[in-house]
Amino acid sequence: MSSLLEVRDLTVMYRGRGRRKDKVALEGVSVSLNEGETLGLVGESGSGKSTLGNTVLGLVRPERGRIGFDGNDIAGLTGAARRKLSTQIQAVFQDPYTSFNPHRTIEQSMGETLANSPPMSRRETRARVLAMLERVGLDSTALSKFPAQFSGGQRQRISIARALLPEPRLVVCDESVSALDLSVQAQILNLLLELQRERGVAYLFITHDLSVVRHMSTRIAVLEHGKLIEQGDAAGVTDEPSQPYTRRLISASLSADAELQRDRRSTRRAMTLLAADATGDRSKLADEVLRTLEHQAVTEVFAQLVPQSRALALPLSRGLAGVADVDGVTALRAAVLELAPRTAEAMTPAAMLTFVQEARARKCSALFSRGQSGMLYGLIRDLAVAIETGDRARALELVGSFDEPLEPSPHPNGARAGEHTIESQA
Amino acid sequence: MSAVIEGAAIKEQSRRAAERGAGFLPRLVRQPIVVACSLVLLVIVLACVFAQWVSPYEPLEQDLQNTAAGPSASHLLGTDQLGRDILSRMLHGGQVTLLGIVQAVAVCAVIGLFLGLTAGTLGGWVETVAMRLCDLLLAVPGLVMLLVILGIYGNNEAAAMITLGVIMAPTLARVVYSATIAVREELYVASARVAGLTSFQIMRRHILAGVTGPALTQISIVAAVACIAEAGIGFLGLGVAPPAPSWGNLVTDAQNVMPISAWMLVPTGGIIAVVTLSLTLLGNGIRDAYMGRSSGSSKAFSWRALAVKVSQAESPAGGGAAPQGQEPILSVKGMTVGLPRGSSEVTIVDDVSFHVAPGEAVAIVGESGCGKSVTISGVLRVLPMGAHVTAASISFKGTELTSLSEREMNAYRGTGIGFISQEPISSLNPAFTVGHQLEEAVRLHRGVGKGQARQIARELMARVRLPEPEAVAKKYPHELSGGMAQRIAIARALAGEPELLIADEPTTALDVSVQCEILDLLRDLREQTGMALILVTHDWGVVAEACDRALVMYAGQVVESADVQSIIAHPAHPYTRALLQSSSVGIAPRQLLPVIAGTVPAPGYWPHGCRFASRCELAEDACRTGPIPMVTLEESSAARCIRTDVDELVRT
Ligand SMILES: Nc1ncnc2c1ncn2[C@@H]1O[C@H](COP(=O)(O)OP(=O)(O)OP(=O)(O)O)[C@@H](O)[C@H]1O
Ligand code: SF4
Ligand SMILES: [Mg+2]
Repeated sequence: MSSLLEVRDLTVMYRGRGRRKDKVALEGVSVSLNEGETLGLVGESGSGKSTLGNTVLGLVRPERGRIGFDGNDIAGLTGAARRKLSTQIQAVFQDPYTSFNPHRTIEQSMGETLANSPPMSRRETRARVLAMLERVGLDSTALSKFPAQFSGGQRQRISIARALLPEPRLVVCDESVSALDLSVQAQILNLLLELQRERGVAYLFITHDLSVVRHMSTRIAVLEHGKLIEQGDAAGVTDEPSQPYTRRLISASLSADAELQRDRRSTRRAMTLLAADATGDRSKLADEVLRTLEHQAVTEVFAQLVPQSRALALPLSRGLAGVADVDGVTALRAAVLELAPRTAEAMTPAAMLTFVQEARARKCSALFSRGQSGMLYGLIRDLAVAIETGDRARALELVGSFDEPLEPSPHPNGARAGEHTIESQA
Repeated sequence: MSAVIEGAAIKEQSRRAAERGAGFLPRLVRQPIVVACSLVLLVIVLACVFAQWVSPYEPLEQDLQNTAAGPSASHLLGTDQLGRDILSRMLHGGQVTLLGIVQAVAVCAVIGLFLGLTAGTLGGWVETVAMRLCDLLLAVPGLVMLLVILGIYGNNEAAAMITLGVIMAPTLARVVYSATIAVREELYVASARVAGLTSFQIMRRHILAGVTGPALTQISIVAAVACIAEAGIGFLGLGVAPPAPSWGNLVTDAQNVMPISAWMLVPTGGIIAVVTLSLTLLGNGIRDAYMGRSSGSSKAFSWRALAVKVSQAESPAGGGAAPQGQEPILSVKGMTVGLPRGSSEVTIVDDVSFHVAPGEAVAIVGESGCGKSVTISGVLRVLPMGAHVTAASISFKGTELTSLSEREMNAYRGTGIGFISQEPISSLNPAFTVGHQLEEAVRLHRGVGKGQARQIARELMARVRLPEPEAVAKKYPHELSGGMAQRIAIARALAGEPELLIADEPTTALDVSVQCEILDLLRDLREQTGMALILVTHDWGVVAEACDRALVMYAGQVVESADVQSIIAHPAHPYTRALLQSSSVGIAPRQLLPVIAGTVPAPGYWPHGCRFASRCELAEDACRTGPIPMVTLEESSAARCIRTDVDELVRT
């Protein structure tokens, strides 16, 4: 499959007016999109997502770079040549309330997109508009109505109908569902997916909502301050992001899992405390960060579609094979954070990572020196089992008990710890 | 910059006007004043234009028997000191005056529209040059220029009126310019460009429509000014030379006969007053029609006359889970909110009961249009005029809010109860720096002096973790990012040290990382101050992140209430369950999401039985027979559904 859209080294500047300085909105960005696929574009506000979309649409003139569409460079096209492309490249914008002229009927607004299609009679135009409206779930009464007479979701359906009317090959969806509430959002996303399957249209899907982009995209590109940071297939970017910025975006996105939220929050907090505290007892704070991270890793893994304990397999097998030294124990414990690589240890800023590693090493050597490393193996093996069997409560209980024996306890080799020791040696 | 803000405001209002349905023209002709003024002007213009035929005498014809006479059968409006018929002179004089007005308006309109539209549509250097030109013209003292021109060209009316048109053009140009750039930024203009329309087509179809209203308003003002100016010129003897009449000359004549008869001043002055007034009122009417107010209609008067009506219902209906443990800080029992629609009233929020314990965070969840915002507006009593709130009880810290007067209520807003809205930037006044607005709020709520207010304001900014508070304080709202603006809005809400903060979709407009920071901030503030929170949202992630308990609303009613953990894990109401499922979590990428078919029934169209029945998979006949009561499920949870038992089975 050849690339439908091939953006190379795109640089866009907004010229400052008066006292305002020039602003580089995009710098050397290259992305590509195949026919019939979806490229998700994510990034914080002001990262240049919309600018990229608008440049592809010809609304913004690039400073440098190439926008290949179907093999031709369309970056510098203006006037009639650019207008001709309107049958091929269309857009669905964010705000369903302002993307229609309030003074024009739906038929008039929709007919607009056929301006550059081969001329057709009024009747033909009307028939095509109507067919498209019916496809998105509206009927002929919509034709003569004004935008104000529709709800946000209906208007977004009409936007989509308008964009797809000239049968374009690429549709730029700039935050097309961000202004809609969740249930309507789901309806619109379904409509977009269905239309893509039916017509093989490609989407440049711009949004700041990671769960939406993950659901819709085949590929994802991440922008930060006008630069492309990361690009790859959707699952790769969201499950195993390579860049801290992407990870930050992912961990900031909310999930309806209250426990996961709480864990992410306590991790964020513990890290903030550790970062802010330059003088106090850092080792204690670092212990706290380690604890919250481990707990979060477990909730994160349960938030995935199919929770898996793969990361634990190798260090566990080494331990069970009898190579239990301090390093082995430490590696085993580090593996817990690898359970959900997209949000656990990989999330930790580099400066904090050393503290976390030190805390872990300290705790593990303490365990080792007390001869309790076998117990840790047992706990972590049980953890692996709990994850594989989907027993979330048990997993959380286990991850919370790693350091319990470290507390001064009258029975250092209490029943529970002893039991694990025996198991792990068995 | 001010032009931009003004433009944005116009745009916003015009959009809202259009939302209300009817077009510009229907709204215009619905105003009796507009119709009356147009008729008056039309009659005057026609009479003047056809003066040759309709006037009873020639303008210079003298009736020496009747000099300086009052109205009579032969001279309807009397005669002047030379016995000339005043009515005839007025009609003929009107030709001169009206021609003058037309000249001034035409010149002004051509220059103003051209400068404004080209500057607004083309942008770039054209914009800069055109706007500089306007500044330059505005700086010229108009009256002096007019007198100079009259000095050079003698009694040349046309020269004077054209000059007047030029002098007034920059103001019109500015109005047109700001309206144009406001429209230019509209998404529908971007859509039109994407659709492949040419600049000319875009200008004709989209931009002119947005510019017409403000431009017509300004033009009617220009005409009114031109009318007065023409009369002034005539009065000073600088216009057409007597004995040819013009309205200005007639006033001079009237002044001359004052010692003998004061009557002549009435018709001659009167016609100028009537024309000027009509033009001004017409201008107002056009503006109102454009902005969506139809001040002339009888409905509008009643709209203004009625404030929010609050009444206490008979007795608590017994609905709503009874608060256990602590005394709630806010307790709402059986609140119903009606808004005026046409001549009747439509219920938006129907018998809602809930409570908030001190320090508790309660989410109000539901699709848009379910009445979430109106519910909190009802509590705060910040509703459109004519709204009607009925409640058995709305009590805040033991005070019954329903029995408070509007003034007493004011003391609670901001002080006891803080409020932040979805669009932080539009909740701030664009004309003042944010620091100033924050200080104002502090002074208002804490009754402290200027210096202290300033200090408290800075402390508040530090508390909401604004970096460089000093620098931010000097900024205007439009210079802030969404996150910063929301922090300022929160700081302002905290100015009164509220014990309850109500936040309407505080993070919907923000992107994920900023949303996360704002929610963290709200949580920290709650922990520091023990403040309770009501948070309106449609995002379950926000609910899980920030709240302890959730109320789910559907079609004006609370349909489920439970603590957040359990509502997410075990939703009891089919609607709650459907809402939770429509998130993409747990669905394989690029597969269709489960959706709730259909839409929320609009207020006024609620069915008699369960309001969710048309979209509910479990609906059965019993659901449709009558209103569904709230069923208590566990000690703190309740759902408005008769099949909650079945749901348990279906869920798995
Ligand atoms: N017309 C303009 N003039 C000057 N600067 C602009 C203009 N439009 C955008 N910018 C700036 O360019 C940068 C990128 O903007 P863009 O709107 O493309 O970002 P975005 O990722 O789409 O943000 P959001 O999520 O808020 O829509 C921002 O810093 C913005 O301030
Ligand atoms: S009462 Fe009936 S229709 Fe209503 S939500 Fe329950 S099951 Fe569905
Ligand atoms: Mg954007």
